[in-house]
Amino acid sequence: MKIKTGERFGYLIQILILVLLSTAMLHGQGRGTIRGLVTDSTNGEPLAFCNAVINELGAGASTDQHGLYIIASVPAGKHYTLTISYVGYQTKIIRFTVNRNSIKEIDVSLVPVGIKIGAVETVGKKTIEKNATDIGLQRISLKDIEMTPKGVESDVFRSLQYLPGVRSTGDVSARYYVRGSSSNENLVTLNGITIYNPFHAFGMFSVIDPDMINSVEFYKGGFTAEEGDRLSSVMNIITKDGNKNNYDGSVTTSFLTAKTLIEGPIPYGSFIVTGRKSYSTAILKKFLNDQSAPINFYDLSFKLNYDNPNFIKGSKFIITSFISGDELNNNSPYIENMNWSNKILGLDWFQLTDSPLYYELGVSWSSFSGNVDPKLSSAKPRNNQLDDITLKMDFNYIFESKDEFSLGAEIKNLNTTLFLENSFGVVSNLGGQGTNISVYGKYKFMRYNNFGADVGVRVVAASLTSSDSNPFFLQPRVNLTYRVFPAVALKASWGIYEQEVTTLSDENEVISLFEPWAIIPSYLKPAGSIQYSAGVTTDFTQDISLDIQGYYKTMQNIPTLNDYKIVSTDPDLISATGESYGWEFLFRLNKNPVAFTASYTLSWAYKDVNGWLYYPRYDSRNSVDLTLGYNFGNGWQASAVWIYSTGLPFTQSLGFYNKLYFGDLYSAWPIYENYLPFQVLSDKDLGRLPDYHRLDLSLSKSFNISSVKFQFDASIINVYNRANIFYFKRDTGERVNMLPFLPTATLKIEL
Amino acid sequence: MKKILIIIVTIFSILFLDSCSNTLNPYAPFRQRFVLSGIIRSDTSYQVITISKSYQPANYNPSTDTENVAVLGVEVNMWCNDTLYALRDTSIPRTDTSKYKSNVSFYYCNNFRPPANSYIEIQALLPNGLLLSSTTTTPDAGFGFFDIASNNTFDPAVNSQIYMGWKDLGNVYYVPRISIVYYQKGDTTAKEFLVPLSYINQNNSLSPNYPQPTKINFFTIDQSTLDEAMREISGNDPNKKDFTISKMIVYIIVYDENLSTYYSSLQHSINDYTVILDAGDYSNISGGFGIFGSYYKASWRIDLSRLYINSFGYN
Repeated sequence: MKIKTGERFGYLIQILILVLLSTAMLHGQGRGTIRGLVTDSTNGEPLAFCNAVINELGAGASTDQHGLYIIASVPAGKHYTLTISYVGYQTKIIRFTVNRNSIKEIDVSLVPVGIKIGAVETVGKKTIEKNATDIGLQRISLKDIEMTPKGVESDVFRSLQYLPGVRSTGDVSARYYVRGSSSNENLVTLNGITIYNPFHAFGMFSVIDPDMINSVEFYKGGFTAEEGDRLSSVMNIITKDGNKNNYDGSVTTSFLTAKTLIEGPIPYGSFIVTGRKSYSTAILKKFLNDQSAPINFYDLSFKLNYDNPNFIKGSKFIITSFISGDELNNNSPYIENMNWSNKILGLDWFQLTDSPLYYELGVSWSSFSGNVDPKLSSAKPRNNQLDDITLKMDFNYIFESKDEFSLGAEIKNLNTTLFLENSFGVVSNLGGQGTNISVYGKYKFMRYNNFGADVGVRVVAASLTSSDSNPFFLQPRVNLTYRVFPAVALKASWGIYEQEVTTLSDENEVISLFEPWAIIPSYLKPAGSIQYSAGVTTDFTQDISLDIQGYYKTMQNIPTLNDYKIVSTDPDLISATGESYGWEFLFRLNKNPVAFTASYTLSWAYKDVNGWLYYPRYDSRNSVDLTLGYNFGNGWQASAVWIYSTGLPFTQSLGFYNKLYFGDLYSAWPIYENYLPFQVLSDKDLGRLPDYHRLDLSLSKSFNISSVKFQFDASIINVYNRANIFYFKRDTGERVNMLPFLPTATLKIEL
Repeated sequence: MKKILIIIVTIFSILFLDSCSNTLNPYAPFRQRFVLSGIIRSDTSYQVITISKSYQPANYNPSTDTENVAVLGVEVNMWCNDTLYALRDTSIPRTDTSKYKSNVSFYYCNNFRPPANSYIEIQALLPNGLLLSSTTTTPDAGFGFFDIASNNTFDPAVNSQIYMGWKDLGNVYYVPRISIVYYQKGDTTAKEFLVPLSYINQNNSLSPNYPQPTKINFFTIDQSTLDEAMREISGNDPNKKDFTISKMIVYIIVYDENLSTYYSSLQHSINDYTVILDAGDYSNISGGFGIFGSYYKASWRIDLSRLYINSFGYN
């Protein structure tokens, strides 16, 4: 651990706080603040991203992932009406007054719209947040996830792939690539805790069971100073708190898994437990070119929250635990076994105070373990263990002017062990230990209704890596929004980002089972990225919007697996650079009973390794996603999704040569005839696979029998059986396609 | 609402009906490459080199291309300790004619048995003027066996296993081979029975686990494995006395560094499920593809105690 800039930055922060606090104090006198939690009336679950608007002022805010809204700078002594609305819930209007220099607490429970009256009930509308600095941010609700055809399982990662700027490289994988960056540059957190390998079953599904999700925030870029550790994207998943009113449970089964959920109240809180286990892998053959894989996986989550006002007023304590595991055990001693697992445990303390200050303290442990036991096979033995202990603190202060100031710190201790053998038989030990200390401060100018700015800086005071220098230790970030007309907002962001951990991912693997994590070794500098994005958001009506965004980013010091590590002294990783840019268009229409989304992405991505410039495997020039949902009422819903993307890059062949193969050399002298064809490759990724397109349909029906709720979903993947090529086998020229026409169904029973 | 639905359905239909090309040409324009392959052996003076060219089968399936790819008329020379060895071309009938029908063509010399730790250089001048070249150093013969069995004799009264180790020569592969030499009544020819490192019990059937090329510089064989091997020598033959056990021999082949790296690159399988598209290729041939390597072979004798041999009914 190296303390580099801590002291001088400490002084800087102190001065900044004093200046900003004094300025803001002077600005907003004679005003008050309202704040509160918005919850679901049936189960007390916090409702993230709902709208809270003071009608008389036209001012409002969205609830955050805790369900908390805060509206500052409300002129005191007057009567107002507060409208709380959310899609799928009955809008609630509350009258209130606020006193000068005080905070009024207004907690609201919203009543969900009954499934049988979905088509006619008045439900919450989208509210235009005039000055929200949210370029690059996508908020994904459980309803969005459910809207996408389930295939085998609903999956939050797969639903991401319909967003502009987000790509996958095949039906088989839930791995995603954001704006021309590699998949290991995406951060996934569960209740604020990093999950290092968030995939089940060869990366086909995420480890996050959608039933446990309350809300998802996904930054495609432009994430502000409180987010760190990754270059490309951040996905924050907040799980449900559990039913605060009643004990509840559900059982769901699909062709692949059976899962259960149990939730209920405890004194001053609630709990939720979810569990999922695979029971049959027959369906996976469709994903694996008809190859069987004896894979078993499970995940188990637990969350308990406690908010006793008699203990500490305004506090909420959350304990989160999550375990996932995958095992691939072959009976034959000549085929290797594998296992990988995640374990996380965290304690979070969220505290509202009597002043407009709220803060959050968290301590967590996240562990990833992956092993390949070759037994008597020719597979390479591999072993990776990672332990991450993180302490986080965030302080937020909202001024009467509506400006916000945030300050936080993160101390992350990482310990990794990694042993592996590459294809040339060279054994590497890439384990390491380090501590990262990062602090951030940011100021959100929200005082003007048509202008918002989020200006912050993240500073790496101590690096995980033992590299001599960290060119990205100072990471300024700016997000701006200017609403030129009531319906049109211009948005822009600029920022510097840094990453100190990496996976040893082999870009040549289209199906990869083992992606070990390591701290970037000392002979490389931490990876960094400079990103620009700008766009325009047009809200034609409350129901129709169009987002257009352009982005440009450069990436430096990207650790890349050294394909030519021949001897042990060769480096395991070499440094690469990257560049990507593009345009994204997103059109949304949400007019009950129709929900329609159309997105188009035009993008370019490049990577430069040792002077060789090429298109990485996830570079797709044009992508189109069309999603149509229709609510027929009476519990019937249908959706159709059509995806199109131009072909992904691949390395063309120059032909074959006959390569000498031999084993132990005791056998008959092999030099004459022991030759097999071996591919001679052309320049990397200069070819393009044929275009990809696919239509998926789904139909769902919710109904009650007595007090038991049922939900039946039927989906058809690849309705017109498009033969989308996945890859072609080099040795035989055989074409391997992605998912064929595939009907599936799931049944969920809620008790 | 109707209009909106019509617009949406129309968009879907247009895109749905758009028939995109789904054909794939995996080839870039062909560029001819040349390949030199040769493994210099320390246990013979007959050395062989092959030289071939690359090809581009029309239907992408290389197994269907039957044109002989050997390159003839190449001037191939080797040097070792300032001595030149010129290789001559020849051909012999092919044993496997499933793909190529023509003879196997290669270059050879029969007067070169390299000593250990020798630096060998090869150059092949092709008819088109291209030069393929490479070097190898034969592994050091100085690696020594050691055996914890007393007096190099396995005696179950003293040892519960055979343990053998040898000097670590670095990042190279060793290939052990263990055999029991025996004679059968009426036959003066010595026979060798290969001893596995262990037996794997699979569905109540024992499968032998023979040594594979490894970087580990020792091996062990438990007595139970040796017992099973001894029993298998005679199999179901009730006349155990017809078998005379002579000795055990341990061979070790050591690949040089080039050959070791090349061998490792042949083991493509990271695991059975990972799919690698652009597998890395290793070659130490300047100007082309292929391998020029060498190996050294040594042997060691272990005796079996008479009491142990007799316990199986053998002489």
